[in-house]
Amino acid sequence: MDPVVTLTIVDRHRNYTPGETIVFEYTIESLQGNGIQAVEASVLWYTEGKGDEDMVVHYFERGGAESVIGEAFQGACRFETELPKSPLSYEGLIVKIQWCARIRVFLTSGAELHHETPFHLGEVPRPRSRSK
Amino acid sequence: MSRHCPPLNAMGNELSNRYSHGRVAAQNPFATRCTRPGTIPYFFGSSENLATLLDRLDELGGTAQIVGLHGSGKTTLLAMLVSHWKSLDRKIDQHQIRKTDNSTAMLFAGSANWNAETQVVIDSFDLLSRCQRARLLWFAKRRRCGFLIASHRELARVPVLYRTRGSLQTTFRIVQRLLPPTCELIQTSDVAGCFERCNKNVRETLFGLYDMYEQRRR
Repeated sequence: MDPVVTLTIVDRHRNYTPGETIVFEYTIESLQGNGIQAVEASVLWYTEGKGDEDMVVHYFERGGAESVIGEAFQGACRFETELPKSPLSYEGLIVKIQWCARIRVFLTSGAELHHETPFHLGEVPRPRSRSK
Repeated sequence: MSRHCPPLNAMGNELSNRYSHGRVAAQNPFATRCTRPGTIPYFFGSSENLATLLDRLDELGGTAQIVGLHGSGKTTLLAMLVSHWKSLDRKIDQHQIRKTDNSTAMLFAGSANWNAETQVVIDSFDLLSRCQRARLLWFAKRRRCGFLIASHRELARVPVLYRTRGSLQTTFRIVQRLLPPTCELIQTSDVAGCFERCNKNVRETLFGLYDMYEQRRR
């Protein structure tokens, strides 16, 4: 079985408010002899749509093998951040703003594990499409 | 992974949708993150593939141009070639020329490091002036580097490696790759109609399908 990383939100609810602290928990399983070189945890937002995409990292931490992890890494790790006032999640017709937390695990073999967990910041109503 | 966009099997619950490699799925399979060059391959005609293209580039001595209209797949093909060269650890100097930024200055600055190991890749080469083009060609020849350019029109003094053409068949293949298997929001006739309205520009067709998908999924 290949190594697996999972990332969940602790005490998840549908919408988060600006200023609220959001807590994430991640686990890395089935390492089976694979060593971990580093783990990067980030909270970010990006745009999605037809044009060029923007991405801004709100929170970032990188842990090296010497600090957080080792070959026998088993338990769950947590990180948290206070959410900013903007931009709020938005699902427009032309552009959308998506918030997510992301974990990237770099293995000594050169492989990379990746997991994202989206969440909603704020409660901006979804625009209605024009009827034709 | 065979598909870049996963099934969006629960449209109302996009929080649970993700790619098999862990990234969050796009809510619209025609969004730029799913369609930009490098995320989908270039679809060759029946008698050609990446290997034949690389062979031809060798035969041409490493200097060539890819020619095609807007939205016909030039940048996608370049991205595919660059990805191949990167997998071989080839030294790449890649540039996208734009009229509105300092890309030309960056290109000339980067040219100082060209050598026989370098594969130079320049997109929208025709946006440079005739003098700039001649200077870069001369410089690449002198440094003996690989020199592959993409242009909207055929340029003199550079052999043509490949002509990209946006076809309805190719567009069908791209859409088939992007759409979730069970999705019925976009039909074959929609793709064909959009392709005609966009004057056979594949990129514009995908933009049109983005709008169509967005209207229908709400």
